[in-house]
Amino acid sequence: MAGAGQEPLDEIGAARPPGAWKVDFDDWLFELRPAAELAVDLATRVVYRPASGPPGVLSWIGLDYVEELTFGDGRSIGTLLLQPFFLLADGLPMTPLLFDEPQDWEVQWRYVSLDVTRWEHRGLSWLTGHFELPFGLERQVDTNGTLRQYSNARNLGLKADWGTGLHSEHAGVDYHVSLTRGSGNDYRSADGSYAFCLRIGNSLTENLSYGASFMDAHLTGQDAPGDLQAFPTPDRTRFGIDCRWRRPSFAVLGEASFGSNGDEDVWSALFEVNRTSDDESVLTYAQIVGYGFGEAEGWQDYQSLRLGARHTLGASATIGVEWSRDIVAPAAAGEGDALAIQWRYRF
Amino acid sequence: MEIPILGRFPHQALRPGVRAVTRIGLAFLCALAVTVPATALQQPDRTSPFCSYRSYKRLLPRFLPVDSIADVRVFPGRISAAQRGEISRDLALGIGRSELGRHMLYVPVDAKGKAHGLLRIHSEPGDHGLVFMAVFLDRDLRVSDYSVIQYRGRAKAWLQGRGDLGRRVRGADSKTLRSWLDATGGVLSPTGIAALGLAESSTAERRIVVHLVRIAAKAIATTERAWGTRMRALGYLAPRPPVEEAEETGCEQE
Repeated sequence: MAGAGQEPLDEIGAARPPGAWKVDFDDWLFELRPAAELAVDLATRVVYRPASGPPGVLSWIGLDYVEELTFGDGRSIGTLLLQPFFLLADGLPMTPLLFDEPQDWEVQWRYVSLDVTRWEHRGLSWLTGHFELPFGLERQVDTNGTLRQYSNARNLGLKADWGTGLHSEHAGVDYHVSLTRGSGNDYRSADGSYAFCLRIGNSLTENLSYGASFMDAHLTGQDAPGDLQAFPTPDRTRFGIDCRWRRPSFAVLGEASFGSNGDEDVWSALFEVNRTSDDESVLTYAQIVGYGFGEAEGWQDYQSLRLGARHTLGASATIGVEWSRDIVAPAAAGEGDALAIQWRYRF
Repeated sequence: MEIPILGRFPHQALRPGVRAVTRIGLAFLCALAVTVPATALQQPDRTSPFCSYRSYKRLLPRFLPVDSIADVRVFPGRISAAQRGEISRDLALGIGRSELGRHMLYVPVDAKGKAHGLLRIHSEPGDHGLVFMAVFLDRDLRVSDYSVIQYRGRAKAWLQGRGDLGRRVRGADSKTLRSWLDATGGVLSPTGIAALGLAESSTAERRIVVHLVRIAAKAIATTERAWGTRMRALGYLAPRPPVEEAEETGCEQE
């Protein structure tokens, strides 16, 4: 078996490219763990917002490991997914909550989960660990490490969390329900923090897929932003709907939600039109993002336009760019432009 | 209180050490991206994080009554670059990068451990992006049924609703499937149009059938090479005639 995997490398001979050691490593890993795959994920993202000063940089190196756990006779246990990442932030215009200060490094657990799929054919999978919350478009679009993002991180207060949940598809109905710690990247319990999320929709394999979501959370375990002492408005409730319509030459996506942050009413919406090339190497998209929160003097709204593109260069490299412009912003924040460029290399 | 959008932190002067690490990292990535042509690595597509990986056992009720399935056995396999070349030559069909690498074979079994077919998920580049299909095979590695997982064209609904086409495809092996395509493998042959009853169909409808035929043929060929010997040893596949087995033993991975 190893011989079959080595043949193309021998054919290349002296012309073996730098990095071919990884192919050899993959052969070794396959011998050791046939159901496993490992990738190294490197990226650098430069973000420039003129109103906030010089450009900032976010870099990371991470491991992406997945293994389908089975017994020797094929009896299934589930899917193990491990994604430890080492991130370095350097003067980003909007430093993510993960970091304590503008120049900082952190270990981020993107996905650390065991998905017990033994009964998936009966419409039941049991997911435990650190995973993305099932709310809105995140259920059906992968935004792991991409410039293109949807609303969850800002709207819900966290994008991924530690906990457990059930999900699958049964009779054409896709569902995912989760109960998590409410602490985001770090596992901690503080003042009964939790996040309950639920999304129900039609099959994700449909070209027109849609769903409804609900979240009820007490996010006292989440990191406090900036110099605040605690995560603001930790009691959050959301009702949401989302939709994706795939056409031959473009796709339309949208998600909207309303609810409350404590005593304050909030709304959030996103509309996207994207186009993917036939060979799926180029993605271009335009998003209109808006949200608002009701205050005593009226609604405080924010709207922005985002234009982005991602180009896949072969089997490992992608470059991405996103330009955003604030259309409506709170007076204290002011309107502005932002440009982000990202190089990413996975091998 | 909502988190301020802008200026959450005042910008600070970069520490020299951090700045140096960042610049070095940036330079390293740029150099890597430029000097290492990814296609030369003979490596499967790595651009998508593995959290997008999905188990497809949930599709089995589309092919079998769920009550008849006591368990689903899962067998990992890998299609190497060498095997990909062999399959491409044997079928005279192009095989994309996403068809390289690790794949799963799902075998639904009843309470007595008897296999009721084999499920493979296969994809290939298409007119409107990647086309994903589930191909359900019988114990003789012939097509039993299929389901479209992803196809952005309008013909997806048409194909899913053509029960008669499913009956015509049922029982086809890889040679029969290949005979339904012309020499280029890109369009249906007159034999295929007649066998599948597509004389009156539109171009778009024939295009998705071409994908179905190509994907089914490649699913059979890859299943044979990556899992054939083991599945026969477990009794999940019927034994092969001696002549054919002698011809292809050297191609099998396990």
